[in-house]
Amino acid sequence: MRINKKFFLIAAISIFILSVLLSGCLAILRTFGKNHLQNKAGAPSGPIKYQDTFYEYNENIITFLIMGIDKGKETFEPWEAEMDNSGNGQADALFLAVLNTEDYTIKVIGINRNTMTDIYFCDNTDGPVPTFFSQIALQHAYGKDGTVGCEYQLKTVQNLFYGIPIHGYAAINVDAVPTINDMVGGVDVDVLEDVTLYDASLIEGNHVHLMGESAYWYVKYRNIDQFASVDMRANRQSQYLNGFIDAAKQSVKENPFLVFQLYKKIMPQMDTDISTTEAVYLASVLPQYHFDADSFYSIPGKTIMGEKYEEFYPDEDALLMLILDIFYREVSES
Amino acid sequence: MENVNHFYARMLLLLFLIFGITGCGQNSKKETAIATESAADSQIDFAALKEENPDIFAWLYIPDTQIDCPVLQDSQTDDFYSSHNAFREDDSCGAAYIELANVANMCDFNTVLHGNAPRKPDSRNAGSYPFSDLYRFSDPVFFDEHENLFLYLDGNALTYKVFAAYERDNTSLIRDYDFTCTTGCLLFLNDLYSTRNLSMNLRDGWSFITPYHFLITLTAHKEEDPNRQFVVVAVLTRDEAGTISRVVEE
Repeated sequence: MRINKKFFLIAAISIFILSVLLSGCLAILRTFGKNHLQNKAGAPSGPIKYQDTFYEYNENIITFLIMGIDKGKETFEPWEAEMDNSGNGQADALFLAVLNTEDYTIKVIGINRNTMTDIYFCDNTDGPVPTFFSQIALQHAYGKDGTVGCEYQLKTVQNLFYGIPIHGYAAINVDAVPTINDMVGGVDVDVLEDVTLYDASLIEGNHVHLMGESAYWYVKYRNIDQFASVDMRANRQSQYLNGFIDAAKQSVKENPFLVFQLYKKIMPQMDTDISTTEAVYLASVLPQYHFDADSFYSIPGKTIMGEKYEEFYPDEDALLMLILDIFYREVSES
Repeated sequence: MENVNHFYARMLLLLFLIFGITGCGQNSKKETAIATESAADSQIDFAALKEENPDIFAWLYIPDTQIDCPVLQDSQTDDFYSSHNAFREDDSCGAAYIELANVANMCDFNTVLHGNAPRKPDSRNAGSYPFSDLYRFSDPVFFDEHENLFLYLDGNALTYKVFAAYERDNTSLIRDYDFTCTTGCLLFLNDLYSTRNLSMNLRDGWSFITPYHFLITLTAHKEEDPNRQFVVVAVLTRDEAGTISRVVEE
């Protein structure tokens, strides 16, 4: 009897010490991961002045560029398929995920894939990398490999957003969508646009629990014969992402190791500069973050028919206000 | 006990070597022309400066800042003065300098001056860094209120108007652009004016710079962000001796 008491006492103390150590390790990993991420991209120096108001960059913000890479040429315009010689694929879905470590909010900014901007192309000569004016989604195809494509894409998006720091990127092949989707148990959507050409269950207006290939076609489908079909797909992708984050948060509560399992499983289909330490930090804090349908933003602007193809021109004033609203805070004086 | 004393003595010696030899601003000689000269009185004694170091070819002065220092060019190495002070001593603070690709007569389209800046502007030895105050131009109010910088040459005094201050990738401007030809100058100007950066300060009314102007660009970078550099670009507005000229190649 005395032995039992002693045994339980030792066990209880051991468990207590272990849990303290574990909490300590987790706290260290969190701090380390957070600092590591924040140091990855330097914050802009000093305050800025816009229309007689002073702002300063909010250093509590960590921003990631999420790219959905499409290598399948069935949804490309013929000229796009021709230009994608590298085989890197195009960034058909582009989002900035903005985490505020102070108020625990996530904001997602969708970037129209036809946004016209200067894009870089590697010509293997010294000096600045030359640019040409084209659709932003093509940028990823212009790196000599996938990683350089991602780095160029990050620079292009950073340039579009007036130099805001971007702390990491993840380029995920759309082929990985069924795997990711199913690992969080599927995603519920009210179908916004008929996709029955590829999946009979995707009838406009129906409430569907997307699993496997249905999720893939729902986020990938685009009718290239229809004007502004990119905008319609972007709406579906935003809607899907919203549902996905909800499902992921729920699944992480039930299985704390889900992020690691997901990370491991999609690694072959993902190009990222987010390290394991940083992923540990993100996995540990994400469940605390608040996110809902109002957390989505898109850049106001206009899609026009260019000489041959669609071109999206952002409303620069509205874009600036969006950037100031999300990434900066007003300060009383310089 | 003796071993312990030896250990401490060795540690002290090591600290002395680390901070004494490779530290910042540790070796400046107090009573020399280099250490005592200032352009606050609009006079620079180049004879005395060159006697102490013939690499000194100019003196840079920006009012209301600690930037009041010699500008040097080593005859052998581009970045010698990034790790040596104006006395040619090892010093991590370095000195203000130009690379070999620029000519020291200030007649190039763009003369690029480099200088180190401290990790934090309020650090103890911040004043020992030649460009400790350069980042002040990132403040829109400071930028608005400080239009001019001055460069003294032996027998001339040049006034420049600061028209741009911004961050860019930490690459070499001299190698990125060929400032000896019109195309390279135009490419630089085009990149400058098309920069999309909210932190960029650009002076109103100064968007007309052409390859026929004479620019000076001051560059510095923070240790914590080695991928970015801060640049302050200014254009020549006054040449007291009237010696600044060049033939522009089309």
